Amino acid sequence: MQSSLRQRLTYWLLGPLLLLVAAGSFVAYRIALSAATKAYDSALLDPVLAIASHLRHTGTSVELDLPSIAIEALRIDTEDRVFYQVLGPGGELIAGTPRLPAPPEVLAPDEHIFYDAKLEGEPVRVAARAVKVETGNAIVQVAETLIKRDKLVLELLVASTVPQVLIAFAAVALLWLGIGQGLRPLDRLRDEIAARSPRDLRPVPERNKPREVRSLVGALNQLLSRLNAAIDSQQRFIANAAHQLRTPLAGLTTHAELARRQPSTPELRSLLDMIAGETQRTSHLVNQLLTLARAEPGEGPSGQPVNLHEIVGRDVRGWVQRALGKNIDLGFELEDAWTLGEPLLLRELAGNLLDNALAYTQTGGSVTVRTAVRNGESVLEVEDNGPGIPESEREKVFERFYRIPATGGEGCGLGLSIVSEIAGRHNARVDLAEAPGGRGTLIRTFFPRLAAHAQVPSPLPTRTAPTLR
Amino acid sequence: MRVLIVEDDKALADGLIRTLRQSGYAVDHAETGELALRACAEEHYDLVVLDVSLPGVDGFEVLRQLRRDAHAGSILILTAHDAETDRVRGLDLGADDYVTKPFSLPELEARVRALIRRSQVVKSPKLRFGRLTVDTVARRASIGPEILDLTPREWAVLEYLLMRVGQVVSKEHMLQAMCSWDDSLTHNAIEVYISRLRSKLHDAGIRIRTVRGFGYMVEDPDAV
Repeated sequence: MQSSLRQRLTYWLLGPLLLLVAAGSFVAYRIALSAATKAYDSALLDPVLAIASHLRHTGTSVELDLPSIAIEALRIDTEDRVFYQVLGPGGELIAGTPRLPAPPEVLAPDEHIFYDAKLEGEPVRVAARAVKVETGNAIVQVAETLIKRDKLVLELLVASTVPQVLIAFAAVALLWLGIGQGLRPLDRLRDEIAARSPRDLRPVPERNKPREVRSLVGALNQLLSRLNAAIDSQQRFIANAAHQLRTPLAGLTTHAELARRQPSTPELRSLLDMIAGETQRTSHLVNQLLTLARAEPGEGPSGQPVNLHEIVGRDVRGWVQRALGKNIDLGFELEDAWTLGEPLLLRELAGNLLDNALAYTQTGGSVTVRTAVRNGESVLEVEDNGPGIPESEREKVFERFYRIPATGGEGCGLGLSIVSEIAGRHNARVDLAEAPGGRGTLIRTFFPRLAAHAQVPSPLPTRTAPTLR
Repeated sequence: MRVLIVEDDKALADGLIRTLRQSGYAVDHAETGELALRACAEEHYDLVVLDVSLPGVDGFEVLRQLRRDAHAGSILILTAHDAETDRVRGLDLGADDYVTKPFSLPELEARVRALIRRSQVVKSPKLRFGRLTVDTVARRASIGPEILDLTPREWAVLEYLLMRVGQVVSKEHMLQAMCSWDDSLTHNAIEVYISRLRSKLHDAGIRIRTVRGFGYMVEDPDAV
């Protein structure tokens, strides 16, 4: 799962923040509600006290001495309906509505309580007071519906919550911006690393970086230096292996060849031919493996201006010898084609393309090497009229150690994977197709063309053969 | 012909010594750079086959000192290092040719023959290529007793090719090498001379191969 640091930080801060907002709203609401209830309750007590003061008791009977018009005045309210009830000491109704319930607890004289109840299915708030009469306590109750209270509750709720929610939103927005700002050094670090060339393993500068990022950079630099050391030791190993393997192999090929030249029996002769052949293949394999190791990314200086024309021209002699041996018509159509690259690797690339073409083209066939600039790209291509590579094999031939079944070539199966490895290192494309004649193979490599103004003479000697001293 | 092989790997040195002795050269062997320098101070060698990685004084240093002391023979560098910089360094220090290990024996032999021939020109003007004899001072070529009738331009082209027997020579290089001699030389003119030389050399067993789109190569009539 991809997670953004900004999202994570926002979520981490947002959750608790929302909980705090909710709790704050709740507390504020409860405080406001309790204050409002007290105010309304004390207002509800007024008519109770007014009615209580007009209770007359004559002997055992209690009566309400209040004109109905006054009672109506007490009951007037703009929003709520108001009910009253006066009960005698025996619980008998003296005045008002009979539908109010009795107070939930027994009241001492002149004590009052407030409680919630239901009247005709409607919730009401009731104020009840006990009034001492001769035979005991009379109860005066006044009830009102909850319309204005509910209204107030709603108002309080809105008044306490809306600002809190607005503050929360503002806080989230600020958090989002602030975190983005705070993470800016990470973005800059990312850009810095992304802008590097894949082969630039120098340490990332630590100065001007915040402490938290600096530790990250430090760890990264440690990794880079370990990587550098690993690559260095790998390169040293390759160079060493090259020397250690090549010298004895040279001795072996020399002796095998010398042995073949000795007079011998046909049996011995064929064995020596086998040994010479195997030795040659081993030499080839060692060279190919070393090239492959060297072509792997992470090593070496960046390229220099190279003319593919010259690259091909360097190794013509060896190829012509091989072509003569197989009576293959080897031809060249070379035009200047500049790119940035490493001459040695490009020679290996060209050599492997040629090796392949010469190995798989039948005696009497023809092979043509071309370099040119086409559509703004520098192209190096090799065309043969050999058996060709079947469509189904064209992907696989670039895999290491893959050889097309039953072709009987003597390759080690590394040639084209070396080609694609080296091409990859030069940002070049490799394209494998049928030759235009409808027979054979056309392998093209397309290199980024080096702009004309950047062209400088190749720093390499251009001679294909040593000149007479 | 005296050849010095400077190589610390005993097996390879043994193979090289046998090979070159079979080709008819007098071969000496030095295992270290110091020994090689001492040998060269005492003897003249037409060719030094020089390994780069030697114990003590390395091949490049030997090469530098030999050229400083005006050693006249050819020097062929033999090395397991195929880095471009090593190659350039070797040639810049005055090596005549550069062969990377492991090499194919026939190729090494061809290069040795080419170098020996060139060093021979200094001592004796007469060179043999199969049935063809060439006198580089008299500027004359003959097949057996019969002297070939060559124009000066044909002679120049033939000499250039014969000095590089077994090597592919590009037309560009031929033109560059000869333009001081004749500014009007063109690709087409070279083709004309080559075709005339082919018919004149027909009986000598010398074949001039065309490398399509690149140049020419005289096959080495002495190759095994």
